[in-house]
Amino acid sequence: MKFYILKRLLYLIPIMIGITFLSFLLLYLAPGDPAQRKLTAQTAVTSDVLEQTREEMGLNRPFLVQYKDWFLNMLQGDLGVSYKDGSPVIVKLTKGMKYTGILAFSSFLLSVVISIPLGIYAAVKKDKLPDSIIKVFCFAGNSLANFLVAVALIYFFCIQTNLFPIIAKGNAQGLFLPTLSLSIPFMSRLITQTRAAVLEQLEQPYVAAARARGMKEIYILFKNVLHNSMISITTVLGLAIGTLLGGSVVTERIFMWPGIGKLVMDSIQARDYPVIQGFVMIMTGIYIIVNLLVDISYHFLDPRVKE
Amino acid sequence: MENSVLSIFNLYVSYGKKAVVEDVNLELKQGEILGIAGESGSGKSTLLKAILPISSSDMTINQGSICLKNTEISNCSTKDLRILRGRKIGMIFQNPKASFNPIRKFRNQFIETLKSHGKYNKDQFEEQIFSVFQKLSLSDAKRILDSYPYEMSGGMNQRIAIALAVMLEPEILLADEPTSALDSMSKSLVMDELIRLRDEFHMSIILVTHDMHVVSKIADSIAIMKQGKIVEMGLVKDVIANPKEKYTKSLLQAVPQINIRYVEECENTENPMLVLDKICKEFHNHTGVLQAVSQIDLQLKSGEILGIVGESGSGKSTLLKLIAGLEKASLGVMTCREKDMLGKRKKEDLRNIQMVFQNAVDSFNPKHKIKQAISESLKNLCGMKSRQSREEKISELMDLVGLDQTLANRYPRKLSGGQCQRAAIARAIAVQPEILLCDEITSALDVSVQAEIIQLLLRLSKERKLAIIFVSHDIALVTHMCKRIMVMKNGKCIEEGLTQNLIEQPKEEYTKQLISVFL
Amino acid sequence: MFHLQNNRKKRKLLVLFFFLFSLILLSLCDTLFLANDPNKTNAGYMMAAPSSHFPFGTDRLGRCIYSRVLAGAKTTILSSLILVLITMVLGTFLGILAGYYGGIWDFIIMRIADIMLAFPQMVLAIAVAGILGGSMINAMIALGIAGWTLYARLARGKVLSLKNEEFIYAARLGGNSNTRIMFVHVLPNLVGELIVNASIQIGSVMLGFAGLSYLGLGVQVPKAEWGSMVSEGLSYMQQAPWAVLAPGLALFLTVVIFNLFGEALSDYMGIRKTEDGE
Repeated sequence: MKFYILKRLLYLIPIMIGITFLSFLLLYLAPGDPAQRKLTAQTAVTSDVLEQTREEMGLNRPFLVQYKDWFLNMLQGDLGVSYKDGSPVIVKLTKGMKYTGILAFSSFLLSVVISIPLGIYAAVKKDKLPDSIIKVFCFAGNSLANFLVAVALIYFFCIQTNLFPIIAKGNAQGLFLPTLSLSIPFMSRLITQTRAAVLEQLEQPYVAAARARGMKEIYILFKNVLHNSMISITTVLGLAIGTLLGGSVVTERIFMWPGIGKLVMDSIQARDYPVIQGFVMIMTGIYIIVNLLVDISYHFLDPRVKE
Repeated sequence: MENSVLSIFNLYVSYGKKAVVEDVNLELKQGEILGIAGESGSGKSTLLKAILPISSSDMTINQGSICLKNTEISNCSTKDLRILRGRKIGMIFQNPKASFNPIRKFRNQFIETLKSHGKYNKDQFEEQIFSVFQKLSLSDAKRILDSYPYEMSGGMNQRIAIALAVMLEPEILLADEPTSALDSMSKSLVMDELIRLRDEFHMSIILVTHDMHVVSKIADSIAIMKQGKIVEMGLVKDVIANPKEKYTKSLLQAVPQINIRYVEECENTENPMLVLDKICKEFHNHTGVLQAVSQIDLQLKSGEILGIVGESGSGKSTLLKLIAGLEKASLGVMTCREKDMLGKRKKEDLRNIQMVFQNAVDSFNPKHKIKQAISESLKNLCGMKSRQSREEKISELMDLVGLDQTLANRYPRKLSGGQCQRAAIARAIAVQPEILLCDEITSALDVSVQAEIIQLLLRLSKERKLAIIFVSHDIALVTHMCKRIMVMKNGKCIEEGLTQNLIEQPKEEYTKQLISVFL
Repeated sequence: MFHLQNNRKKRKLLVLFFFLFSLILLSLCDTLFLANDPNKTNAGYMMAAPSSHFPFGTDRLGRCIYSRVLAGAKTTILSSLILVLITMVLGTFLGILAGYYGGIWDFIIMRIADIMLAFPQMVLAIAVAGILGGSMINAMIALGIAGWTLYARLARGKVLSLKNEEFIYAARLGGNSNTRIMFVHVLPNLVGELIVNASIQIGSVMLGFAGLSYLGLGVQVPKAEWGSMVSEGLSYMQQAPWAVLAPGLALFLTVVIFNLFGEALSDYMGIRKTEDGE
């Protein structure tokens, strides 16, 4: 077990290097001179001041040296400072992360609680009426951009009925619409994939063998089929967190939810690149950790995964 | 009949509009093994599905009755059927790995099955299991219960499935090709087990198989099915000794028999052409190093036919691929006419050693016609640039292997397995090799076609002084054509010798066992 | 029976293909169907309701929404198709290279793919588009930077299984060069599956484009694009709901048609879609 986790972690090292390298490269390739960017927010710029700032920011050193320093700083939790106000990026991000975390977690919870039972139900009722209804809804959900869901929700809940405020204040009441709009496209995927995973297991020959032995359907479904399909369902869940994190940017912007997504959109407008870079690092970090947990969960779900 | 357990009367079953079982009448007596034999598509599996309906399929029983003691099965409700399954009628399947959920312990699956029939008693559970396991000579019951099915071999899974079926004490057991996916060792164990069920548990068994050999060994009575009908029925000893139907005779003939071909020609005194010296091949996978082929020595003279026998996983196919140059050896020396064969092969080396594969149809690119495939080899290896000369050569080859010339214009999927295998042989000999490697080339073919292919190979070997290495899992078949035989197990050569010596005086236990199946 | 079912699948596929083809045609020849200049502002008709002159009404600047939706079709559909085509060709090529040659090629290509997949895709796309600046080309780079991995992994997996097919062994024994085996024997046998997966992928690529445009990271104003039209119309949705409804519906229906087509194609070809995760 320990060995397995260790191996997973070791495997992550080259990936981490690749990710950080790319993120750093992104900033390096960004149009414009970082020193200039940093200064324009403040005073009138003379070439002397510019050169001095460049020296201070270490921009005159070779690319790889810059990367190394940046990487080492990042390991200590230092993601640089914002061009806009000079405050540390990590502070800005943590503040937003709290709200994004709440939003993403509530959407995740809502989706899982609704989707997994519905997916199983649809699989059991394959080709019957409930399955067809669920399938149509999922298909529509899969074809909807999440901003369209948000727009529709705003239209019905805010403009037509005035039940909820459009601008979410970051409180519980304001959480409802963003959560719903983030969950709906996510749910469609989750239901579709849960259904597929359960169906795949139901077609396995061991199910026929268990039926031939007269095993009760409850045992077959809940003890065997569900257990086995959890392996692919957790995989899907882990990967889908990525969609959730990406989708939160759009949702936060629409509902003015004060999360990290809104922060990054503001930073993009202000060309505040270190914040964008920090955003990528933190989101990717979460995504990687979640998928590491998924990998570890295989160990409990599938005895074939040993070492 | 007074001691009949199951009687089937005038049964008609169909899938949609297609009739699969027609007018079947059967009687299964208490404590008897009834074998139902027939080729695939004869309706024998459908018959089992009609006796024990598992899930809703498009199968319909149009007419007739299936009576288990006094219960009419076709009238049962879904709920009654669930209780019937397992408790009254047990079933074991062809694919032994498929009878259990691979990633849950046997213990849980046993408990759930017993609970479903109200036969689970927490205190007596282990005791109960141990006694059944013991009767079936399965040792180490506790360890088995706490293992996962994926950890066990196919044979073991099958025996555990039988044990579980027995624990529910059904009146009859349906066995659908229970031995055909097993190696010969497990096969005989499972056969013994079935006999024990009949003798010790007085169970009635219906054994469905295409393997006349198995039926003749363990069944009491036999029914032969052909195209949905039972064509012949009776006691096994009567039917085997004196088959009335032509179809039964052909099935019996299909049972492979050892038939040593005496090699009359004088001893070949040339030096060996192909020499392998301590050839090894390792594969690395996540569990470690697998020795697929270890330390094999082999010599082959021109015009000689060598047979290699072994079960799946014995490394025989890997060995052939090494010789063909399709895999790289990890260690050892291989030469052909004193030329090193382990490096990258030049055109003339490729030309010299050709290979024919198990699945003839799959050995052709599905997107190309047969003639394109042959033509490709001619162009690449024989430097035949003009289309005209290649076409002529292809016609000539088609004649040589006994195929109609027009078939060369077809796609491989449009040919039968036997035709395709002939075409594959044509492609291989098109470049005039000295050595032809044959990897289980007849095992996917019907028996009558098998014999034809063997005749073709013998003829080619004689006419062209072609050396052949013929790999098969079937030792009887190998005796039909090979002068020498090599027996492989777990990547090693365990015995080698002239066919006659090896068959008549096998030294190794394993070889004896392989042969004993056919005696 | 199988034949009948197959005929039904074929008919479904043909009907969907007809719709799809019309959509693509429409987006190619959008100028033929325009009612007004999509970028022309009309101070006198701001937020006008649908009328015979402006079939879908006008937006805040008085631009004809019908014409803008049509012009937006060109942007969204064509760029999605082009992007899918590019990522498919590139990914397939890399995947075959990795699968057939193995070794160092395989290691490098697949590690790069792993790294790309370690990013949440939309997060990466937002950051790349955000840093490079909003334009259609940059949006394509942002979405394509990880998009190729799907095809690379698929092609590689397929090549690895084909490599052990007997006809590939036979082709090797027939003296074919590696390049010839790759292009003549391997590629034609995996192209079907790749096309099916690409057709399934088009819908989500469109959604990706629309999402970026919605955030202002796609096309630049005043060029019409459905995502940015919705974003713009949102602020005055109360007064002119048609400014949101028309592009939103167009996006939804287009994605539905592409998704239905992808599904019908994979159904007809008997190929199960490969889960790409995100």
